[in-house]
Amino acid sequence: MSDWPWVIASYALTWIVLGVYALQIHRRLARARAEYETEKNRSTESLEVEA
Amino acid sequence: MGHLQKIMYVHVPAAWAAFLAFGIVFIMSILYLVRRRESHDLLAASAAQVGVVLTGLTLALGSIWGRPTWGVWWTWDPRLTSTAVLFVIFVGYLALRSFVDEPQQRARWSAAVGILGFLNVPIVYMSVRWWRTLHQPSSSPATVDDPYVWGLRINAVVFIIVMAYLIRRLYQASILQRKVEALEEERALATEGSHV
Repeated sequence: MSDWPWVIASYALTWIVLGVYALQIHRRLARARAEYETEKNRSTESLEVEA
Repeated sequence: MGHLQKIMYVHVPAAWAAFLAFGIVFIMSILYLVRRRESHDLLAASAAQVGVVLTGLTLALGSIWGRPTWGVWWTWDPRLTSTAVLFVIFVGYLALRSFVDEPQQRARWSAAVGILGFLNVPIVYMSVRWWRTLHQPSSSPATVDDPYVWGLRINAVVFIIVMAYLIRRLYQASILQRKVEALEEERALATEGSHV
């Protein structure tokens, strides 16, 4: 049997694992940024109401 | 080995990058215990997560290489077993972080596990020298031809850059999440204060 399927499987796995993981981290960071902006605005609003 | 040796260009750099990530966990854990700065704990946690993914990838790639070479997907070889133990230790590290709610206690326990877990890295590295088994000894420029050495080096640099990028992004996300928690606490306290 040719060795190529094993080689292709290895490189495909590497790209898929790292690609999916990078995408997951990217989404997590985007979500964290959005939450932070929302929370910051809420805090500013509540301080303004108090004032 | 034929074309199968091409798998080494992803398997070996993935392992090196994972070791480096666990090295960051080790250093940051020590720094946390000495200085008690939350940023060190968050950086250690980010590096641990990336290290776990890279170790999982290393094991999977080794398995794909082992099937046509050794005839088995897995064998209880010292290098494979010690790598699997390293993987399980750091999966435990991440599980521990999700179980403990109190941030300082979580950081202290994580630092202890991170330091102890890293001690397994030299065992993984030296396992092929200490115990002569199925897994071949570590390659070095003295045992590998120049074009192959450069292939490995270039891929290693790429993997390390990817690792550093992923850790940085995860760390940024963790810092923002902590800021959100702090703002929520601050707002809750302010609301309580205004009611009193």
